[in-house]
Amino acid sequence: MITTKKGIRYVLVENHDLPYVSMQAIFLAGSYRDPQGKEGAAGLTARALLRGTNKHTYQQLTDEFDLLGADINSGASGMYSYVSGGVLTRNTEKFFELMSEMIMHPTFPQAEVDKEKGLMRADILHRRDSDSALVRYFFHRFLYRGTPLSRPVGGTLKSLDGLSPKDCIAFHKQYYTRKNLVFVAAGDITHERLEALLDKYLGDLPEGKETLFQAKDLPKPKGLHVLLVDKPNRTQTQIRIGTITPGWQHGDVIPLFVANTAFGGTFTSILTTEVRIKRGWSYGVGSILDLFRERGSVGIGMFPKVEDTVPAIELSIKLLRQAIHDGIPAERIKSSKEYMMNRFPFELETAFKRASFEVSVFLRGKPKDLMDTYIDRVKKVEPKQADKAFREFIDANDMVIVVVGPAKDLEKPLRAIKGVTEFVKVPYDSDLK
Amino acid sequence: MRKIIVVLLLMGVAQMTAQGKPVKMLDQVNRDLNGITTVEFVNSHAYGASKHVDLFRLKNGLEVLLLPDDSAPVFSYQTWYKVGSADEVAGKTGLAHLMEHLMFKGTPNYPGGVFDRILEEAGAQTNAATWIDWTFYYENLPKGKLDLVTKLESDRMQNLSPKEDQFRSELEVVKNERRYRVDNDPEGKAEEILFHEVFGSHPYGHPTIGWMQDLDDMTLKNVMAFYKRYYSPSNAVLVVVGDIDEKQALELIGRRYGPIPGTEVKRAAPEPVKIKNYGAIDQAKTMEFEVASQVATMLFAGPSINQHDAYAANVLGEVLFGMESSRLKRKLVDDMGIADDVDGMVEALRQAGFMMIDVTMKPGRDAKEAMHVIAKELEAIRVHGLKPEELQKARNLAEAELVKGRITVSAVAGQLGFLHVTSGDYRKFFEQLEGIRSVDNKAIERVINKYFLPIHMAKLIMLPRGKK
Repeated sequence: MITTKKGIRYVLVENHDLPYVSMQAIFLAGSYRDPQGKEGAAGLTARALLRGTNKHTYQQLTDEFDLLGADINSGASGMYSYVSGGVLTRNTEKFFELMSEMIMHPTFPQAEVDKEKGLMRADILHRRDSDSALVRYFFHRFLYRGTPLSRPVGGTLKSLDGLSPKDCIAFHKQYYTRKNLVFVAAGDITHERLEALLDKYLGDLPEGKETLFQAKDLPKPKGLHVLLVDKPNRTQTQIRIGTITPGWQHGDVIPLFVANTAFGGTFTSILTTEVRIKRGWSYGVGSILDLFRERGSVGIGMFPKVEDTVPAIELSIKLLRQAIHDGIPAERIKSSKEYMMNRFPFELETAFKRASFEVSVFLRGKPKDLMDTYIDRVKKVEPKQADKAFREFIDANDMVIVVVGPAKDLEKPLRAIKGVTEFVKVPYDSDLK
Repeated sequence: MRKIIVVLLLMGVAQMTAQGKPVKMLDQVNRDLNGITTVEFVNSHAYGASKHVDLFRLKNGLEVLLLPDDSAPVFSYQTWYKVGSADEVAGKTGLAHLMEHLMFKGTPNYPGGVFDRILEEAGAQTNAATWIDWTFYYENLPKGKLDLVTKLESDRMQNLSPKEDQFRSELEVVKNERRYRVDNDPEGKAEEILFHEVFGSHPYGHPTIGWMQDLDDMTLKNVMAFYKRYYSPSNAVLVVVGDIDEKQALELIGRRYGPIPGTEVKRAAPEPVKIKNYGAIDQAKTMEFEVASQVATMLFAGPSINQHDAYAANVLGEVLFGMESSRLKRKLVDDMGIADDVDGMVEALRQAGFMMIDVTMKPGRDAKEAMHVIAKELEAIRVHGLKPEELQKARNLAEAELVKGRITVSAVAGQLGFLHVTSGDYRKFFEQLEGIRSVDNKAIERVINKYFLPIHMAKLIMLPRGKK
C-alpha cells in the first residue's frame, strides 16, 4: 500500500490495455459499527451519499454520472463502507470531482434520506421473494447471534424507522475520514496521476482515526442448533450448515483451506460427489470458508427437494464427521492442493483483482507476503496437517443448521435429527429476535 | 464514420496477409500435421494496436478462433456448439441442456469424474451453459495446459458414453435445477410463461431447461441421438484467447480434432417470429406466487442480432431502465413512488430478439399503474424522440458496458464465440461500438413502431398469494 503526500493510503495496479479505470474508496466502518438499535446506519449513510451534495441534487448527480458513461455505487458490508465505480479514461477527472463531492460534502436531505429508507425497507420485503437470499440472511443472523456481526447491513424494519439524517451525519462525521480511507484503483491510470487526483479531491478529508474491523468475540455453537425459516408452498428447500472457525491471524490456516477444498470446494469434492453426482439431490452444493482477522466461518450450502432435505443434512453431517475422524484420503488432499496452486493465477488475472487481493491482505489480516508465497504455502501442506486443521477447528457435533422451507413437512424430521440441542422456527416474513 | 471503420478493418487484414504471417505459419502447421487434416486460414481482424484474432477452419468443418494475448499467464478455451433449445422438438424440451450436463459424465478414455479431476488438478475453472441458440463449454487455465485441454475436449466431442445410472442421477439434478430457477422463483416463472406467450410454437417459445413433464419422460437414448446429430466438429467453434502460441495451438487442435469426421447438420428453417398484438393492460394475465408485492413483467419480441435495429433496441433499453437516471426508474421509483425497483434486459438472438421489463411494485400498489406508465413513456419517445443529452448518456453507457465486458480473457473469448455462433461472424465484435454510436432518434422511432408499441407488450402480473 502506498501513501500520498496528503496521507491517503492507496493500492493501484496499472493496466493500459483498455480505456477504463475502476475505483473503490473504502472507509473502515461497516454495519459492525452501527450503534445499538440503529442497525442499518452504515448502509443508509453510504447509500444516501448519492442523494445530494452541496452542489448537486440526486437527479443532477445521476444525470452527470450517466453522461460520463460511469458506474457509481455506494453501500456497506459488515466490515466497511464504500463508494465504487468505473469510468472511461477520458472522463476520469470529472468522475473524481463528483465522487469526492459525494464523499466530502453530502447533505443528506430529509426527503431523499426518507426515499432511501423506503428502498431499504423494500429490500427487506423483497428478500422474502428469494429463498437463496433468505437462507444467506438467516444463516448470517443465526451463526453470529448476539454479536455485532449479526447486525443486518440493511437494518430491520424497526431500526429503519428510527434512523434519520442526523444518524447519517453523525456516522459520516465519525468514520469518513482520511485515516479511515483506503483507495483501490486499477486500469488505465498512472500512479502519478492517481496520487495527484487523490490529493486534489480527497486530500482535505478530516484526519480522523482508523477503525479497522475486528471479529474477536464470535462464540462457537455447542450442539446442533436448527433454525427453520417457514416458507409454505415450496417444492425445494435452501440449506446452510456451518460453524465458527479461526481467522487469518490464528497462524497458518492454509491447511484448513486445503481440507475444505477436498471436502466441499470443487466439483469432484467429497460432498459434491455424494450429494450431487451419486444421488442427484442438489444442483448446487459446496462448502465455503470466510475468514476475517481473528475469526471466521465455514458454511455448507445446497438446495434439495423438500423430501430429500433431512437426508441431505444427515448425510452432510455424517460426511463431515467421517472427514474429521478418519481423515481425508491423501489422494484427495493432493488433488486439492494442485487445484488451489494452479488456479491461483486467476485470483490475480486482472488489474482490479490484483489490487483487491492486496487490500484483502490488509482488511482480513492475511500474511503480508501471501501474494508471493501462496503457492509455496499450499505446496508444503501435508495430508496430516490438513486433517489436523479440520479436526482442530471444526466439530460436526457443534453446528448451526438453517433451512428455508415448509414447516408442515420439515419441522418434525428436523427436530428428530440426532444431536439437536436447539430448535427455532420463524415465519419467512419475520426476523430473529 | 462506418465507412472509415470498414476501411481500417480491411487494412488490418491486408497488413497481416502482406506480412505473410498466417500463410507462412500455416504452411509449417500443415506440413507438421502430415495429412491428419488441413488447416485453412479464413480471415483475421486486428485487436487493439498489436494483437489479432484469426479464424481458421479444419477439413472436417471445425472453426477455430485464436487470439494470443500474454497480458496474464492464463488462457480461456471455449467450445461453442451451434445447438440450443431452439433445436428441440415438442415433447423433448430440455434435451440440449440435459446434454450439456451429461457431457461431464465421461468416455472410455476418461471415465466419469476423471475429466473433472484432471482439469481441477490443472487449476481449471470449468463449466458450461446452454441457451436458445447455443451450448458452450469453457476451461480457463493457467498457461501451458493447452495439450491437456485439447486432449480432453476432443475426446468428449466424439466418445461420450454416459451410463444409465449416471443419466438417471443427472436427470434428477436437472429437475432440481428447474425447481430452483423456475418453479420456486417468481422471475423465472414469469419469464417462462411470457416466452411461451410471445414466441408460441416457434422454437423460442419453450423453456431451455425444459418442461417438467418432458424431463420426466426423457431417456438416455434421446440424449445420445441428440449428441450424434449435433456434436460434430462441423457444428462447433473453438475459441482460444490468452497466453498461447498460435502455431502450437493450431498443431494441437489439428492433431486432436482433425481425425473426427464432420457430418453435415441439417436444419429446417423455422418460420419467422410474428409480432403479435396483445390485449389491453386491464386484461393482463395474473398468477399468485410467494411475492411481497405485485410484480409486473412485460415481454416484447425484438430485432435479431443481424438486424441493425438491435443497436437501437439496446439504447432504448438503457433509456427506459438501464441507466441510473433512466426514465422508468426516475418516474416509477423516484417521482411517483409507486415502485421499489425497475429492471429489464434486451437481447438479440439468431432469429429474433426480445426486451423484458420487470417492475416490483410497492406493497399495495397495482402493477397495472406501472404498465400504463410504460405505455405512455414509449409513446412519448416515439412521438417526441429522445433529448440529445439522453441519447448521449445512453450511448456512453452502452460504450462503457462494451469496454468493461472485455477485461478478462474468458469474457473476450465468450463474446467472440457468442457472436460467431449467433450472428455467423465474430467480426461483429468490432462493429458494436460504431453500431451503438450510430443510433439516432429515427432509429429509435423505427424500432418502437416495429417492435415496441404498447400493443406488442405481453403482460403478466405476479400477485402476493392469497391477496388476489
